[in-house]
Amino acid sequence: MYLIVGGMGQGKEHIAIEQFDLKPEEVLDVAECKLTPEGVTAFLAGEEGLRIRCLNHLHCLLREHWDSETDWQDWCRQLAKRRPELVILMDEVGSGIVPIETKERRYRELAGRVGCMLAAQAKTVTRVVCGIGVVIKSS
Amino acid sequence: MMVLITGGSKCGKSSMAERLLQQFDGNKYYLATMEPFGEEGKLVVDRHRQMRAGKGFQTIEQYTQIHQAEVKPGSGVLLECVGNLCANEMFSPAGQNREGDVVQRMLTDIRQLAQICQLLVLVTNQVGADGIQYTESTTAYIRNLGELNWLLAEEADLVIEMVYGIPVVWKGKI
Repeated sequence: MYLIVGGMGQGKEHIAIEQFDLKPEEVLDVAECKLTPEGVTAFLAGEEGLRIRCLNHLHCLLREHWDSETDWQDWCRQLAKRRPELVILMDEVGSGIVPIETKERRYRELAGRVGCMLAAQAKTVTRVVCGIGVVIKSS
Repeated sequence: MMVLITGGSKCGKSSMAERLLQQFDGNKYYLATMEPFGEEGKLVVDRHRQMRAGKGFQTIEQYTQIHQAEVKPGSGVLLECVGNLCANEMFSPAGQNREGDVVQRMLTDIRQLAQICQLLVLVTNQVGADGIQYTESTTAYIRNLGELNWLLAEEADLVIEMVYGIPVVWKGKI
């Protein structure tokens, strides 16, 4: 699995398309598809999911399902195991004031933890700043 | 030697700091600056305590005036975190905010601590990148912590930013 991270609007999609030669139909936008975390795994395992080579906006899935009882460690591990060539895009969202609202705070913490889990599983991690992709992990 | 570790929320700063102190042979202290408020605060403290269990740290709770922590000369010290310390100095009744420039005072305190330590690992926080406009006091906090971070980075031998568990080295060498 390959992970591409960075702040909002920094050009992660651009880097992903360029680096992995992705076509629009090969990208699953988890912000739009209304799937649960388990739904995403199931979809990818199904026939229709075979064409998918990239998950976009993963942080939105975490925002939507911040209180889900998903075993995220296992979720990340399964994803990396079953789809070793998958490209995952997610925003960095943790560099602000700790939110007072429980939901916002838990979402940010979850994004931090899941980001660490995915990065640990990833073959490469690219961080995008101002459209420039810097590889911060390569195996 | 002074190390500054920065990054966003839950990105692996503490783990990195502990890893750097793992090899340190001698007295090891953990300077806890977070005053645990409510259940959630207690959970955070417990989680970090469990992470440190068996790693040979002696915990000192020091919420303000960090140089007053009683650590033995030549020790290895993990200070967690500068962001909490800054908030305490600015907003808690025991803080030094009323006595002039809080950033300079904190810098002086940390320098004093650094002088007696052999290895000082400072965990700080990035808080100015969420694009939200806050009240005057929170804005002042963001500015102060930002300023303190760059002043500390100037003096640190090693500056690391953690990105989802991956160390990005901005200054020095791991």
